[in-house]
Order: sequence, then C-alpha cells, then structure tokens
Amino acid sequence: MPYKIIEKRELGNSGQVFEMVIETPLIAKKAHGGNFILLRINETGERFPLTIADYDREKGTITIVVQVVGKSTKLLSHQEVGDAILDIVGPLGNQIHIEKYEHPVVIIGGGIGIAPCYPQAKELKEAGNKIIAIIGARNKELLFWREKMRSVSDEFIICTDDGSEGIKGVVTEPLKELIKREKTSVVIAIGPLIMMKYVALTTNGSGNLPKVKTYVSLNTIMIDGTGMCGGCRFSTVDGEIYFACVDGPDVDGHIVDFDNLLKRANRFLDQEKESVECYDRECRALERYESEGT
Amino acid sequence: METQPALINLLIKNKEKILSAGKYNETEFSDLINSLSQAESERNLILKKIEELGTLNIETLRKELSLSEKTLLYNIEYLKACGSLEFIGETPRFFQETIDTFKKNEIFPNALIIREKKLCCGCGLCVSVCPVDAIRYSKGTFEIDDDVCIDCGLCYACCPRTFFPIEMKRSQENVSNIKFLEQLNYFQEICTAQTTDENIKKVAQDGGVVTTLLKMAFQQNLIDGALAVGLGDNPLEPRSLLIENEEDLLKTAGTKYTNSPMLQILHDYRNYKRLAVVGTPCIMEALKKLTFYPKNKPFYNNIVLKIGLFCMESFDYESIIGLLKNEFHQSPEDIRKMNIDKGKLIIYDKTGSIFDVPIKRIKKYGRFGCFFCDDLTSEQADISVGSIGSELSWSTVIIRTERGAQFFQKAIKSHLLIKNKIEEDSKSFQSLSSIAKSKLKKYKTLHRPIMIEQEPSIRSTNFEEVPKGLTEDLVKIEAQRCLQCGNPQCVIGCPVNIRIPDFIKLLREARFIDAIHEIKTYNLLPAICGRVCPQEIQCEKHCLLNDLGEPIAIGYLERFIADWERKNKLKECPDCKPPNGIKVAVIGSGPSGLTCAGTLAMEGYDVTIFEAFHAGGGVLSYGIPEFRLPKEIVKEEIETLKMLNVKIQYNAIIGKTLDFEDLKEMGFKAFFIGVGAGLPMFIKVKGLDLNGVLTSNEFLTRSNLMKAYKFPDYDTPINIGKIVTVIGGGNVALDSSRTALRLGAERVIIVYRRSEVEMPARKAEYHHAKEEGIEFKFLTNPVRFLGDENADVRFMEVIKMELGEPDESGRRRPIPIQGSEYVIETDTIIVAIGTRANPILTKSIPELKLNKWGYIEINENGQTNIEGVFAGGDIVTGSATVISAMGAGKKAAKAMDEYLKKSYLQS
Repeated sequence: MPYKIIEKRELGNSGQVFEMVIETPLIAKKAHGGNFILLRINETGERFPLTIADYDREKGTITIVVQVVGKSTKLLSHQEVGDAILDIVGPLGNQIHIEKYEHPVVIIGGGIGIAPCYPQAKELKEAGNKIIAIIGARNKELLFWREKMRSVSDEFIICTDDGSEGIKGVVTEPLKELIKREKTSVVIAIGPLIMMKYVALTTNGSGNLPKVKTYVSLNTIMIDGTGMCGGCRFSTVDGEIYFACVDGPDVDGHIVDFDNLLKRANRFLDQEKESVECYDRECRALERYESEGT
Repeated sequence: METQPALINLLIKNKEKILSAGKYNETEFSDLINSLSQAESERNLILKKIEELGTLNIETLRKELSLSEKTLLYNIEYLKACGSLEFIGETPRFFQETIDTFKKNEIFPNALIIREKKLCCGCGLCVSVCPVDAIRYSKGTFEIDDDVCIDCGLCYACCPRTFFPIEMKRSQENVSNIKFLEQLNYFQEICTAQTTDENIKKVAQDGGVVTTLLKMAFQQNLIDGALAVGLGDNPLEPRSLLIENEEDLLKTAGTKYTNSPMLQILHDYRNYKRLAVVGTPCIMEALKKLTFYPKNKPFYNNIVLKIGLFCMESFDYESIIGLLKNEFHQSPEDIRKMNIDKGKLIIYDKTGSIFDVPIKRIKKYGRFGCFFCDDLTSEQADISVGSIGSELSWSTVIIRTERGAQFFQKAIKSHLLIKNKIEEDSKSFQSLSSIAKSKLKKYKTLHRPIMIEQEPSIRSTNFEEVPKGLTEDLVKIEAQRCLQCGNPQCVIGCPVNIRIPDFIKLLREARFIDAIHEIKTYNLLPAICGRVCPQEIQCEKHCLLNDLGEPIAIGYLERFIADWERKNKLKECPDCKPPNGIKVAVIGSGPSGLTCAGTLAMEGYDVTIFEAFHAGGGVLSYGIPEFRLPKEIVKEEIETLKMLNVKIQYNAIIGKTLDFEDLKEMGFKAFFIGVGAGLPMFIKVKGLDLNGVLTSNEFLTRSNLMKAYKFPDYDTPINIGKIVTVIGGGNVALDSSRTALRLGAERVIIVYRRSEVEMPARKAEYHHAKEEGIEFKFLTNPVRFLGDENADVRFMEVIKMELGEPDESGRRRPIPIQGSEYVIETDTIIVAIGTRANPILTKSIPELKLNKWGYIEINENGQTNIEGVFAGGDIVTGSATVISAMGAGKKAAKAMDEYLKKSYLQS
C-alpha cells in the first residue's frame, strides 16, 4: 500500500523544515498526540521515527514535520506531492495522557519539536485545560506554526536564541517566570535533547522553583518501534532501563538520564555522515546527468 | 599345537549345563564342537593367507587353499563381522559394539543387539539354536534369560539378520533353463496354479497351492512332517506347528499374515528324516543361513523342501488385533479369512461380508524388522507361492530349484494342481515384478552424502549461504537408501507430518514435480525447512537407519527439491478447495502464521495475514541471517501463499494500527495469533546503556531485515569495531557471532555461562562457527560492562563459572567461582540470551488469558479462552524452533477449520 504525499510545504525560512500531509487512512483513524510513526522511504531506506504533528480522521491523512539532519530526512525532504513513501507504520508509542488538570499546562516546543506539540496542545485544550505554549528556536527563520499553536493556547510565548523574534533567550527563561508566577499542573517539553534536559532541570524542584510534573518526548534511534530491538532504550537516573518506543515516547523528564542519552544519540555519527556524503554525491551526479542530458 | 578357540572353550566349560538343558545329547554336543572347531581352523587358514597376501582376492584364495567358493565366502563374511579384516580396509557391515565385544572376548555377543536395532525378523531361529535354552519368544520378539545364558553368541552368529554374504543370497543351481531378475532372484519358471481339491479350496488362501503340495508330499510319502503356521489358542493367533499327516493339513490353511517364530521349534524335529518348511521370506533366509552356519552341523540337514510365501511385511499378533480394531472395527473372532489382493487388504467376516482397506494404510502395523527386508517372493525357497500376479482363487508359483520343480511336477501329474502359464510380458508378471521391485532396498552405503560448503576462510567474508546443497546425482543415490518403511517414524518426528518416504520415493524415481507437490501438501515452506529445521532431533532422529549407520539426509533432500523448483522457475501449488468466502485473520507472518494461513487457504478460506514489518517471514526475515537462509527464499515461499490467494497486509500492527474489534468489523470470523516472542531479554549488569551494547534482535534486524551489511548502499548503519563479544549459547548467539565476523570483526568471542555440552545451539551451526574462527569462552558469565568518556563500551568484566547440581531445565546449574573475575577488551557486546512475549497485541485484548510470563494459554487444539481466537508458535511456547511453530500453526488451522465449519458452513 503506497502512502501518498498529498501536500508539502516549507516551514520557516531555513529551507530545512518541511511539512507533509500523507495519506494513511488507518493511522489517521487511530492517531493521537504523542504517537509516532516509522517510515521507510524506499527499498534501501532505513526505518526512522517521526512524531505525528497532526491528523485528519475524515480525510485519512496525517501531518509530519521534518527537519533535514541526515540522509533519510534529506531524502524525505526531496519527495514531492504525488510521490509515495514505501512504508509507514503506526501509530506507535503511547498517546499522551489527557485529563482536565487543576492548573494550567505548559507546553514547550523547541525547533522541530514545535510540530508534535500541536496535537498535544489541541487535545489538552479540548479537554478543558488552560494551555500556555512556549515555542522557541535559534532564530526566527526556524520558527513555524505560530498561528496554529496560538489557536490552541490561552497564552502564547515565542523566544529565539538570537532575539530575532519574541523574547531573546532560551525557553527555560519564560518557563521559570511561569512556574514562579502561578501553580502549574504539568509541563510538556518537546525539542532537542539538550533543551529537554534543561527544562527538566528547571522543573525538578531545585533552586527556588517549585517542582512540576514534566513530560519529555524521546525520539531515539529505533528500528521496529514495538519493543523488539531495544535500540531506543534509555536509562533512568536510578539505572533502570526503559524503551522509548513502548514506554514512551513521552516519559517523566525527571527520571531520564539525559547525559547518557546525549551520548547514545551519537551512536552512528560517523555512519550518518558517510551516508549523507554518499547521498549528496548521488544527487550531484544526478543533477549533472539531468543538466547534461537536456 | 594351536590354542583352543574361546568359543569352544566356553562350550566345553558349560558342557554339563548344555546337556542338562536337553537340546543336545552327548554325541550331538561333540558333533557341534567338532563342527565349530573345523570352521575355526578354516577361518584361521584363510585369515593367515589374507595376511600373507595383504589383500582379499577370492580367486587366489580359492586356488591356494583349495577351498570351495561357498566356504570362502561365508568364512570371509564371518571374519568381516568380527572385525578381523579391518587391516585390509574391510569395514564390517554391522555394529561397532559387536566388534568391540568380539575383540575383547573372541566371541560374539548375544543377539539382543539385533532386537535393539529393530532388525529382528521374528524367525525364531535363535530360540532353536540356543544350546542352554535361554531364549524365549513372546510378543513379537525374543527375550534372553541372563541367568541361563552362557554368552556363547551362537544366537548372534546364526541370526539371518547378522552376517549373510550377499553372494550366498544370489547362489544358483547349475540348471540350464535358470533365469534371473534382480527383483525376483533366480527362478526356473513362473506360473499360476490352483488346487483341484474342493476341501482345500474352501479354506485355503487363493489357489491352495501350498496345502496341496504338502498333501501330495504326504500322499506320495516324500516327507515325514511339515513345519508350518497354524492357529493358536486365540482367533488369528499364530502357532508354529508340525504337521505329520494329510489330515492335519487343513489346520494350517488360510493363515493370516501374522508373524510366527516358527523356527523356534525346529530343533524338536531334528530326528525327522524329511521335513518340509512353509514360511515367509525371512524364514527361508534363516534356513539358508543354516546351510552355511554352523558349518557341517550334525542336525538341521533334514529339510527336503522349502516352500516360501510372498510377503510384503508381516504383523505381530498384537499389531494385527490393533489393525482389525482400528481399520475395520472388527475383533479377531469375527474374521473368517484375510487376503491381500490388488493393493488391498481384504477381510471376510463370519457373516459373509467383505471389507477392504488399501495396503498403504496397514503398512504402519508392520514389524520394524520387515522394513529392512528386500525379499518379496521368498528368494531362498525351493518354490515360492503367493497371490500377487494371479487371478482370484489362483496362486502365483515361482519354481526356483530342481527340488521345487520336482515336487510341483508331481502335484501336476497326480492332478492335484492345475497350472496356467504366465508370459513375461503379461500384466500379471509385470505387476509381480513391479511390486517386487518396490521392495528392493538399495542402501549400498550406510553413509549419508556430505554437502559441499564454502571454505570457512572464504565464507567468513561474505553473506552467501554456507552449504551449497546436494547435486541431483547425490540426491538420487541418497533417495535409494530410504527403507520406505511401512511405519515411518520420520513422519512422526516431523511436526507437520510430511509423508517423508513418499516424497523420497518420488525423488528416487526422479519425479521431481510430484515430489515437491507431495511435500507442499503438508509443508508450504520446504526451502526454509530444508535449511533451518533441526532435522537431527526431529525426522532424522527417528530414521531406522540410525541403528545401522547414518539416517537418511531428509533435510538435504527437502532442500534439494525446493531449490530445484525455484531454479526451474516452477511454482508448484498444492490443491485447494473452492473458496468458501469465510474471512480468517492471521496475525504475524512468521513460520506459524504462514503455515496456518496456507493450511486454511487450502481449505478454501479467505485468509489475510497482518504483518507489523514491511516484509514477511517474521524471524525468518529479521532473525535468521542471509548465509543460513537467503531472504530471496523467504520471499519466494511467501509468493506460494499468494498463489493460494492469501493476502498479506504489511505495516499493520494489531493493537496499534488496527485492533481486534476492527478486525471483527472487517468481517473476520476466526483469528490466529502467531506474533512470536519478540522482546529481548537483558542481563542485569551495569553498563547496558553504553554505546556498542545491543541486543541480538537489534543487531540481527539491522543486518538481516534492513541489510545493514550493504551499508552505505542500504541506509541502515551498523558499526561493530574490531572485537565483538556475544553473550549466549543458542542459535541466535551463533548467528550474531557469525554475522559480526562477516561484517568485518577481527575477533569474535562467545561468552556462555554453561559448558559446551549444555549449549542449546544446533551442533552443525556450532561446528560451522568454530570452523570460521569464532572463539568460545565457556563457563564464563558477564559481571559488568565498562565504557569510556563517550559512553562507548570498552571492556566486559566476566567471572568464571563451574557446574553444580542440575537445575529445573535438567542441565547443571552454573555457579560463579569467587575471585575469578577478569576483563575482556571489546568494541561491541551483543546480548543474545533469549526473548520473551511482546505485550502489544495481548494487552489490546484484555480478556485473552495469558500465563504468568505473558504467553498465551491455549487448549490442545490451539484455541485460546476466546471463541474463534487461536494461537501458536513462540507467543504460546516461548522461543522454540521454526518447525515447531509451523506445527502449531498447522494444528491450529485444523481446529479453526473445524470450528468455522461447525459455526458457519453447516447451516
């Protein structure tokens, strides 16, 4: 069954982030915030996870947002409307826990992590929660979905590292103010590992700040997404082993051993580089062929 | 002066005991001693000469020793049987145990080994020859009373199933009109005959020829008695008896295919001057053996006529009772007569009704000993009689010897028999000939062929298959070795009960398409099973040839025929019933799911398989490496299923993408859960979170399913460094280690906490791994993993173990030796210590009953606690073999078929 790309658009101005709407009727029917899919673009492709950024049960589509970081994401970004992805499986992982919390919920999206925040904010908002959303990136070129996020939040904060839009600074700065300002039920943080690490450190009750239950979303290396390979495992500060795919992807940020996870993320650094180089060489060869051919 | 041979010494020592047993009187005893001594000195002479010549040449020996060829032949066979000719490279046909005993005692052991090896033909000769009367025959075989036995080994030496020079079986008289056919041996004439005696007609089998021949012999005073089988105390129970006159004859007529150890009473009648013996081929063989061993015996020379019966196989009394009960629902009292004709066993009951079943169905009741027999027509008899090849109420007669011809002619002349010619091109002759041919055994060798394998040094650098398969020529030779047993144990050993002898027979006849068709009726994945089934503990373990030498290479043959089909781009597809439109869902496309789907598709169901991965096969695809099972083969086998209209939906995780309720809504009426045991187990040690520590599942999935070994052509990376350590002792550990080697590891070490003996891996794979240079550290257990500042693993600390008392698995429990810790440098650690149940599916059906380990509980039909939901394979049993999962899939499919028929088709 081919998984056809229905829509594609660039997000922000970096040329690195794309939104794609893909025809996946079965997955769309079951998808929730927190769920992810595994993709294999073509016969030689690897299986890699992407979090579901939106879904439309009626149209039978899901939305994914991809940032070019390695070979597979680059290859995916080169797919156009009408092309099909060879394999998509999902929805995987646990959907977020939805309840009407007593106090506001703070949802933080960093960079590409803004996208998966959207369905979580939407579902929590629909459950009657007060949503405070913070989205952040290195600069304004990398920001996207401002209106979409605003539409599901009661309070909406933008920050950039370089101050090119919103508050100058990292997402933990407004977070500190918020949890100092009012009692917060839950913090949800999705973004780069380093961001999630500092969010968790901000909310763990240290310093003069109150402790707030914090979920982070782990997007680790995985193959099957069903608990089979164990490649996605992470250890807790107590030395316990969990699997991001079946125990997550949203997990208690306070138990995650981020330092270990940061190192595990580099597992295939050399191979990823090699893979991208090979792909770029192929792309250049193809371009040359096409330009010489015409 | 030469020393007394050990056997003679022993007999003399036991003289009192022998005489008091009452079988031999003083004179007979000394005759026996003389005959044995004479044979002994003959053999010494021959042995010396062979030693002198350094080679075995019958012609030279005959000239130099002026001994008859016959004398030479059996003495040489005897020398071979005791291992005395090993120095000139003559390997004995029979058992090493016997030779070892002989070398130690210079006397053969007793005949129990023949019974143990299931070779006993049930002739009863051992009972007769035992000088101390220590042997009794009961329930289809013999028992030896240890307290009485003097270990003289005469029973072994006389047994027709021990040494028997093949040339002696083929000896002939110098008669001008003698003819020879391999399947019938020598004969003068073949005809059909019928008795003219109305009384005999009423009770006798077929033409009543045997009874009539004996009647004539009594009438014309040609014999004093005839040894035959008559009825015992119970209906159909055979009893060996001696007939002394014409009147007693009718007692024997119409015997019922039951094996009777008639020669056990032979010694009782040694004073009869002229004895006729009527019996099956094995009885005739035993009598033939008596003509050359013991040589020059003072008795047993009184047999003047050997009437042989045709015999496909015989049945023990107990088996025949079972046969009647199971196949005819009859008890022996109700049977008037039994007959075999035109491929059927026919019974006539006392009410006059006639029933029949195909012989094929009754073969399984036959004696094991019969499966080694290649004599249909009693080739060692003077005259052979049977029903094959003749019209109803006639018998086929094969006249073999001059004596046989004389007796037959006399019966014709006195108008007791009438005869009809059989032409060699007639249908009757052809049917006799072809049935006789089917019984021929062609196991020239007891060794199985060796499959050519890639050289270890070459194969450890590529992912191509290690064994290369058998050639067509070798396959035909190997197929000839199959005994074609009537009661094939291999089929029982096969979890999906492939009719193994049937497909081997087709291979033998080079009917390859039929052979693959035959296999696929039972097993849709032969190319896979031929490679990864542990045949050595399943079908091949039960092969009768194990007892003699090596079992038939069933796996090799299965692999050959499946590969032959693929190479010839054929797609044999088993016959399917017409579609019945009932939808069945199979969850998981591993071995159990594929088998279940195929079996149900053949029954006409509309089957859809749901597979979580993007490729089918389950563990066959992600777990077993390319060099053991090429993935193309898995694909092709799945194609066969598609030809049966099985649909496969990939990327469908039941419990995620779809759930059980969705499937019901989609119209599925029954469900098979075969999702395997996919979750990896971890050992509880520090350092599991280091980079470079991975589960065998991840490692093998990357390499096999995702083809990381072709990186960067395929995008999935794998990096293992120079030294790889694998933890575990099963097939998965071996697969992981050999994959690591092929990915370029310089050193691969397997760490296993028990010893070599307890390793659960297949021996052949262990052997392959060792050949390729995998290092094994047995009785070694990891303590912790140590890494560097980048969280990359560097060392594994291990502790030495020793074996204690057996644990619940029956294997000796490994216990750490305190203070024996040391470290192994390593770049990668692969944990291959087993798997457990994956809860994704089972959690999505909360009412599904699981055991405490999370495996699904099923009843004996494979059904779970939910109606219409069945399960099988590793999700029920925990990790097991491919074929056992297939067996479970098949069993469940049968139960599902019954369930669906009952619920949806009968109304």
